[in-house]
Amino acid sequence: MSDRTASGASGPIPGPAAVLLMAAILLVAALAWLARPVTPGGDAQRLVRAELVDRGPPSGLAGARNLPLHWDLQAPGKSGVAELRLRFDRPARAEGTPPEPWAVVVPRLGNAWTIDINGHPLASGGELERANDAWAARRPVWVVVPDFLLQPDNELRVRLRADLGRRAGLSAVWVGPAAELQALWQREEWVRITLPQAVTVLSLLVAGLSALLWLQQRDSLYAWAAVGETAWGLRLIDTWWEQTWLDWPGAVALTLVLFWVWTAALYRMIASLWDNQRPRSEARAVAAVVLAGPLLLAVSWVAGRSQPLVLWMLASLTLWMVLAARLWWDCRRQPSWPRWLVTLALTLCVAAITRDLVAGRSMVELYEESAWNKYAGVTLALAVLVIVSLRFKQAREQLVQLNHSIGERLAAREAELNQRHAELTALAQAKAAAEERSRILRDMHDGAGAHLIAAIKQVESGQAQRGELLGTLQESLDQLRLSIDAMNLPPGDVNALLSSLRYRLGRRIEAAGLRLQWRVEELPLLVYLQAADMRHLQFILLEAISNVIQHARASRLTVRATADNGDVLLELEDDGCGSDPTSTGGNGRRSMTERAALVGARCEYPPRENGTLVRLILPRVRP
Amino acid sequence: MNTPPSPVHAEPWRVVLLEDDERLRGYFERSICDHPALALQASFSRLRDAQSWLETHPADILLTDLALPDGHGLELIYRLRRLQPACEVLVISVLGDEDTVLACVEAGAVGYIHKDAAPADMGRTIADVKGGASPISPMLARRLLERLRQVDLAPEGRPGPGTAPPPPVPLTPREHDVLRLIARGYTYAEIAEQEGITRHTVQMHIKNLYGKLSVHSRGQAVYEASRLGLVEPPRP
Repeated sequence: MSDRTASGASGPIPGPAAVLLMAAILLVAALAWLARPVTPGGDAQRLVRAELVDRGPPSGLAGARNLPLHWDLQAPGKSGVAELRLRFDRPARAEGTPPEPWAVVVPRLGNAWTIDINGHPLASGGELERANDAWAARRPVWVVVPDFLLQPDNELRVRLRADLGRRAGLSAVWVGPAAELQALWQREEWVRITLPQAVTVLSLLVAGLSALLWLQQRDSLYAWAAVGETAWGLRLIDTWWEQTWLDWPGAVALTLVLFWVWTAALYRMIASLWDNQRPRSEARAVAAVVLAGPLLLAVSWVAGRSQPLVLWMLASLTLWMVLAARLWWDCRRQPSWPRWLVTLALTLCVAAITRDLVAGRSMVELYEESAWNKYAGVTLALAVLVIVSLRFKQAREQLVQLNHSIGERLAAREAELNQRHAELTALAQAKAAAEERSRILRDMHDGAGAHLIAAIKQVESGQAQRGELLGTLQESLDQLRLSIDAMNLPPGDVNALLSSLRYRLGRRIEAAGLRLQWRVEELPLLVYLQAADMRHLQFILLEAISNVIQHARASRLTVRATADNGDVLLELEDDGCGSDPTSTGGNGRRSMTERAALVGARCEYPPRENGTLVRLILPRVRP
Repeated sequence: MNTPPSPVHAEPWRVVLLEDDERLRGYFERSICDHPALALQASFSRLRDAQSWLETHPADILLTDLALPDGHGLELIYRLRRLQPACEVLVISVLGDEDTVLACVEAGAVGYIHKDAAPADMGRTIADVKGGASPISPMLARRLLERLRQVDLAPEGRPGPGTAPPPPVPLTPREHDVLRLIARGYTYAEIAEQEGITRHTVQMHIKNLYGKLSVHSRGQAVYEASRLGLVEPPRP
């Protein structure tokens, strides 16, 4: 139900309140239907006239009286024993019809009682002689009257013991054929016993559930709900046992204590629902009223009058009415389903208790009516159940939302990581490309480029011989070829590196008058050598060969490549004049050593008597 | 360096040249003319011209560039094998393009010359081809070995679509040894010495090897060439 459709002259009613009102109306209607009055037909008679005779201290009620009799209202401040005589006729039976059992139904009487018909005792409840006994007198009375006891004109005598302030009295009495009265008695039993028993069961179940929830979640709302519902369930426990375990006024004191506990717990529940933000004055007023209860009970007891207690009841009710009104107001400001629910339940309870108080204190004709508050209390138990279910729903939604948001966050994180990965990959590719470019440029510059510059210088100087110039250009071309070879070399293939070197430099070595001895074995693949490493190796070997060609004045160059236990050993040996490490060759050697270190190899120059030996050791795995 | 002196031949070999770079064509023309055993029959800069000329004129040697303005040299190599099986093809290649050279060898070329080779050598190299020499570099030898290894490693049974493995090339152990030694950098002379054969035999081994590769790789060469984007697949 939306605000718009529910709105009227009094202003918009919020959705939850409207729904709750509807639910409450339906609940009350269902209860009213269940407890609808039954009027027996046929020969059943409702006896409302009685002759009262005092059998104890004078009550002032002797004489003809109308039923129901409400002792507390009609003989205030007095207790006593009285006999009520009711007369009824039994219509003559038609000839030949079988005898029909009759019954007496008394919806309410108390406190202790006996019932006689025509001087024959039929039934009794409680101890007539013992004032303030433990007999609760909750049940409606159903007595079957044997046919032979009935005369055309009969006298029904009900003897009552009326205790002070204990709702003693006698409702109207029904007599008639048992079949006619059955439905009436069942209705009374249902309203006075069965429903209140169901209420106690429900209250105690809700109390148990709340206690469990409190143990698990330590939410003060559940603790107070458990306390309140336990008190409410125990308060109605006398519908299970007519003979309670406490004499009056112990029983009434217990009932009142339970009621105070219930009110205190109810207020704490309300405070919990308002996040413990209720005004302190309000809390103080509730505490004062609850604590004043025992005090006024004691005063009532000592004074022998019920007025102080009634006064307390009225004050208490007034406070709760004000509180209920205030809660409605607060609900409209900060609405939530639990608040609406509890406020509604509270309102129903206050209304029912008010009605019961009015009925019990001022209206004799309502003596027969059962108290409403025990039913109203159910709404509170139901409210607690609904609140529990709402909280579970909320928790579940939060969980679902949490899962959802975790999923979303994971997806976002994954997307972020993917993007980062893509960026890093792009960056790495760009870096690799830049490195490759700079490597090629360096190769060009140091190799072919350097020789081309030298060639240009030679031409410019004008002193260079044609052969020298050609040699320089040839070297430039060789460098270029080697650079290109290096790009195509399979990584780690030292054989390919060596053979390409020989293929490119063979002519120059020959032209330098060197006899090349080639002793190259099949070498293992050194997988750790990448393109840049191959280029370094090529440079080292080229440098070594160039040194031999240019400086060694040798006649023989031996190139050996052997595999030793997976390691690769490269040796370049000449029979020349050897080299002086301090001469210009030293620069080249340092460069060779550095480059060897870069690829994880070792460059050695073992001393020789004549000639030079360059040894390059490439380990099987990179150190 | 690795080639024997050209054998004496009564008639000079008829050479046809296809090269679109004018300066290079000039060098090649001079090299051919300078060599006594060679006679330049015709010189072209366009593939179509060379092709139509070869349809009517017999030749002994075709020296062809690969990347031509109106097509790829590979096309002509295929055609020539049908037109003039006796005509041997030498490919003019650029540095570091062993893959294309290998595709040409598989298509039927018997050797290749680098564009940067010296002119004096070039004439001799061309002439030597007819004498049984097939120029090879260690790099190309390595590619060939790789190619053969791929055959060995290829799984048995029918190949899957698009991954047709090259057909096996039945090399003799000697041919295989020669190829491996070349790949390691040994010269023909060194190989001949090691293997106890003549240098000429070594050269013949190479030429045979090329031939086998070409015979056994016709389909593969087309596949490779089209994969490399060099030629259109031949029409049936």
